[in-house]
Amino acid sequence: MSYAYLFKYIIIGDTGVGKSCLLLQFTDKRFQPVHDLTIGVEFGARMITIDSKQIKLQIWDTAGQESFRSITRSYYRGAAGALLVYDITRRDTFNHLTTWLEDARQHSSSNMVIMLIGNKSDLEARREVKREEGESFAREHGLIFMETSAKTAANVEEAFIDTAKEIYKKIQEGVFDINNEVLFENWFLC
Amino acid sequence: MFQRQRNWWTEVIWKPKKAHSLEQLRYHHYILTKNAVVTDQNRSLLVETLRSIAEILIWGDQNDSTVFDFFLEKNMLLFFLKILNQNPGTYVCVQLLQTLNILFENIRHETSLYYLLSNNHVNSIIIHKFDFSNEEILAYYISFLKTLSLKLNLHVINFFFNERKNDYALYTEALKFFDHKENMVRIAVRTLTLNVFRVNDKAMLNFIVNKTANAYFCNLIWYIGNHAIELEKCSITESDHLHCGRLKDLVADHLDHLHYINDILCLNIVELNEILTDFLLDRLIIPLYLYSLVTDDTAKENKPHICKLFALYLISQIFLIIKHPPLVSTLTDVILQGEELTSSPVQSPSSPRKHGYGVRSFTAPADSLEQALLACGINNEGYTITNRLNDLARQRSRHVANSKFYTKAGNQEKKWRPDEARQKARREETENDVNVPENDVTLSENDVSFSENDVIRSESPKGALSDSCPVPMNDTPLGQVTGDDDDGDGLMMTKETSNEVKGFTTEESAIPNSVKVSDVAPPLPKSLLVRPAEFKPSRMYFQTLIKSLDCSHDDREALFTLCLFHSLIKNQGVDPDLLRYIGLFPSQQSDNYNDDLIQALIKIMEQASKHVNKVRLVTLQMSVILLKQLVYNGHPGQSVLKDVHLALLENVRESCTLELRNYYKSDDIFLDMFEAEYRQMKVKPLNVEHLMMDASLLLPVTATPLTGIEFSKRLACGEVEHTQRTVRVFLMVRELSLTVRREPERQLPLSKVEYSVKENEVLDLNNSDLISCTVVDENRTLRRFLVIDEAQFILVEPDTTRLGWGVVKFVALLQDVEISPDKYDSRSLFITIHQPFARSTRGPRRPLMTAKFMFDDYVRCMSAKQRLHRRRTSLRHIKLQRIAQLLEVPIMASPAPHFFPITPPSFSQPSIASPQGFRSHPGGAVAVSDISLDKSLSHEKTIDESANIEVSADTAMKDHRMAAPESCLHPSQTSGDQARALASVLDISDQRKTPESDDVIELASDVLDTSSWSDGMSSEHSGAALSDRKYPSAPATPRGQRRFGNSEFHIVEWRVSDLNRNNSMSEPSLFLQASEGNDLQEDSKTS
Repeated sequence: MSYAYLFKYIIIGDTGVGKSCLLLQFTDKRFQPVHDLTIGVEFGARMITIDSKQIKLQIWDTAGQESFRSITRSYYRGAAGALLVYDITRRDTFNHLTTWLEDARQHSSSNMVIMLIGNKSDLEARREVKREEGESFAREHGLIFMETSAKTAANVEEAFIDTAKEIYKKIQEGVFDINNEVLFENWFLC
Repeated sequence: MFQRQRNWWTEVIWKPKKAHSLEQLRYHHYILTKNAVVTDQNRSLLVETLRSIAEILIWGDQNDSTVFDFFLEKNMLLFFLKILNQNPGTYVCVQLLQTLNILFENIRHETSLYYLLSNNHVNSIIIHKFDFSNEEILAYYISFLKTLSLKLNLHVINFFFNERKNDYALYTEALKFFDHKENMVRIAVRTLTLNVFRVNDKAMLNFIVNKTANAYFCNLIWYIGNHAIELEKCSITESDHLHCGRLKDLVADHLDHLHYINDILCLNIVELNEILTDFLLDRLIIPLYLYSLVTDDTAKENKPHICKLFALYLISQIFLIIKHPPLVSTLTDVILQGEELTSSPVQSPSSPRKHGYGVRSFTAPADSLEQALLACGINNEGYTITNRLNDLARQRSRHVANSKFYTKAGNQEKKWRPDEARQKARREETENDVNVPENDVTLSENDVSFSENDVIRSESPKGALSDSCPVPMNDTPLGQVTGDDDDGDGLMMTKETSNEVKGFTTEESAIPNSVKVSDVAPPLPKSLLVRPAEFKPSRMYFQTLIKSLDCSHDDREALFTLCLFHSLIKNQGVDPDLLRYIGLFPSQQSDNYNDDLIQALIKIMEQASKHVNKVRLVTLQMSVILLKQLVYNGHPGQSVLKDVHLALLENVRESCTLELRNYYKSDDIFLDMFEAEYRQMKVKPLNVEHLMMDASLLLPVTATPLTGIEFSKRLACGEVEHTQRTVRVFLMVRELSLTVRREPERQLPLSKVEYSVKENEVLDLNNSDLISCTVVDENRTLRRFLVIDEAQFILVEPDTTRLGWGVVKFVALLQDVEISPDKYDSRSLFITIHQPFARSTRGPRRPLMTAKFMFDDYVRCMSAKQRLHRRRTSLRHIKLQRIAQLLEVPIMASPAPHFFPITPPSFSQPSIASPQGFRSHPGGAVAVSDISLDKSLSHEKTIDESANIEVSADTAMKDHRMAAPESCLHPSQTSGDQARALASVLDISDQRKTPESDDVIELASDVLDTSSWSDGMSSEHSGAALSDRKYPSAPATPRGQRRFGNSEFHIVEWRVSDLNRNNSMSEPSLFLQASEGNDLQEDSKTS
């Protein structure tokens, strides 16, 4: 499979916010979300098309590696995009966003596109974090914002693809250096 | 258990409707059996089957345990293997790996996990030779391994690790990708290794240490070293500051390596750490970095080396990141006292080290990692798959599936071993703890506990010995461990260096826990190095470091050296005795510090204080920090600095003051700069670690801001930056001087009243001027009273409990307040309050408050506005006087409030400059006393007039705002007319000469001021031009709106036009510092 670019994403946020489910939902649509089954993965890849260009997305979940500084550091640096996820039914996951963001900003390339995602939007009844709060946090920190549900697949597609569009835009604007091997290595170009 | 109600063939017809059920799994099993051979036709079917299996199994794990029973009974993982062995192509392989990923990621029940891991199927999949040139397969494969490693613990370790067979496929297979070019793959491998090391299983750690550590670390360190060399090469090819992306990546990569090493060391696996420390020191840090510090050109040819600058950088990074005591102490020891061997070139023949100097060298590993692992006897055969279905079914309830290769007895043995390992670890820890101040004993204990294995270890990595180390199994501690439990001691890895102790033979030192070394060790503070008794310390490296502190040509080396010393002193792993010995330990006695270093530091400051110099601010800052570190420990008391050094330092301070006097101007821009620099110095302590992450430090020093490099990390460019720099140098040296003399700060900050009021405080506001207003911002409308005190902008709300008191709801510094009138509503002001320090920091920052303030009427509005201005002005005046005091310049005659003669604009200036000339007039209207609203009200008529003018002036300004900066330099005739009209109003009021009329003038001037000065560069520009002409000593000081950081890039564009208008280059660039036009009139008056 040939592609024009390979974008690497990382997906960050507290445990239990549904990062790996989002990832699986996006990368493998054959897994239909059903009520009695929670499945997630730590890695996934998928091809998308932007501007009639084939772009491959590789998404790496960084869960479980927080105890090693070298690992988090490297993950951030290797990614062109990051999905920062919180759970709208758990206020604490929202409160931790600042810490995550600080980490991301400190270790990543300054151009990394960060998307803020309020996950589990299907659980409206148990909502603890208002949509507006997410929006204003995103505005304040210059992030893209979206509420998603890995369960109903609402907005999942958009979250990943919009991030890719933003990266793509940055490439077109010349903000990102395509020759940056770390971020856009496409050694399988054919 | 399921029931066999149907035959196979009927099952085909009956495809279960429910997606997640045991029946569905049986159906998939049937598909797999029928499609044992992968063909193009059935590929999609197989992929879908594999995918569904994952789904059903997870569902089963969460909902129905019979699913796993079936999976096991049918040994379905075997199908996976059979499919793999047919090389089914990317599509199927990826799906298979994904299925496995999903399985291991999502399984919650321990038993389910044991089932999956039993029978070595997973290990067989791990060693399967996938097509790793396919990035997708590799990515899925490596995350599969990583996922497995996250599941590792004492219970499952034996599914992966077979001690008897030297088999640990998960680990050894992953290691093969440690230097893969794909970043994410490398990270996954590192994660995996760390997860593996962290499993506290003694047998496994034995295996890691004895069988793989040499091979892995040797290659890892070679890889890191080459990275360093590449880094240097890259800095030559990418010496352009604007295109150094690759250099930045390489630097960041290098830091990643060090952090990784640190993470390993932090796991505190004694044996592993010793091997890693040895490799790092003997094969990377000392031979490559340290030798490069002192290598002369002749020696360069045959040895890999890096330049001194990079060596300094890399060494300081080590001290910044790694805190492992043996490593950093040994390195410190070598740096401060020289190497044990090189110091005495004539080796005594009895020395066990025959290679002498050459022992430490940066050479390629003899074998690739894979070969080396094989040579160490790592199992590379496949696994015999035994279908022990029945056994498993029977053992299901026992939660421990021992189906791998172990006998039951073996398992029991394993059970207590980790405990012993833990005990032992704990024992060692306590030993270490007890001996913290002088850990020599512990270290030397480790030093001399020899094992035969150590000989192997110390030889195999040597490049000189090309043959690898085929070790008979029974020769290694591992071989013995199987029989003898006490063998754990054999693992106490030794330092090669301990070989050098004279008179020690291997046999002698092989006695475990011998402390003999301590007896013969020289009384010098020592690290892991064991030096011969006749050892003479060599200051070769130390002297080199001191020499590189010289900044006469370039301060890059000096900066890194300063960072090196700084991190060396701060590093908690470094033996304090070593530092104390050389005088690098913060002490209270003056005769203890290192004279050479202190002198070199003061020399840097002296160089920095000169008019022309090569010292960047950051270098000066580092030297100040280091000096404080050495002689100041925070205790009050006498100065530690020797008199001679104190005198030197005072000289430097004196010359800084002199230098700053050259730049001193009693104007607002200087004041602003001064305050901004002071704030920045106070607010932003230098973070050395962050500083050192900046790859651009490695490139040649530049002066131009066009590189985007922070001001402190480059040289000054242009007059403004030179002023800024001189201010900063002065402030830093002054502060240092006060600190070392233990004198309290009395004169700074310039104004101490600025923070007197806090939010939610309750103030007595009787007899204070209160202006009621309505604050309208984005979300709400609030009723508040505005209080303007000496330095603060305060909003209060009446205190409900006490009459005349108010609760503070908002406080900001007056100087952060920016006002603009609402042109549609004369009763309102738009007030923006910036974050403190916003002007001196980069990047856009949200203001503290942006709101519309609505007052009761126009007069109150004007009064508030004017009062804000006036308070600000007097505050500034006081501050400027304080600066003068600081610099010991004669205090200028106080620019007492006075009136300039008001002349018709036509008379004072040609038409082009008429608005400017006009603007200077109202400057006279400095009112010392407060205006009360009542007074102003008595002159309503005049005010109304001026209000009218304001409206028309506003219309005129509209054109201005839209105009390009160039055209703004030529104000339209309209505004000139407006100005003239307004002047006449002022003229009239001035003639009345009543005290009240002053106020009116001021009000009118405010009107004028706001209308014609509302915003835009044009006004600032022309204003500056004016004051330049009229009051050469005081360039105008527009301030506020534009921040320094943002305007840097304008400087170049502007200068062209500026040059035409002004003789001096300095003034035009000064605007860019600055801000709100509103102040201009007041500025000119103060001069």
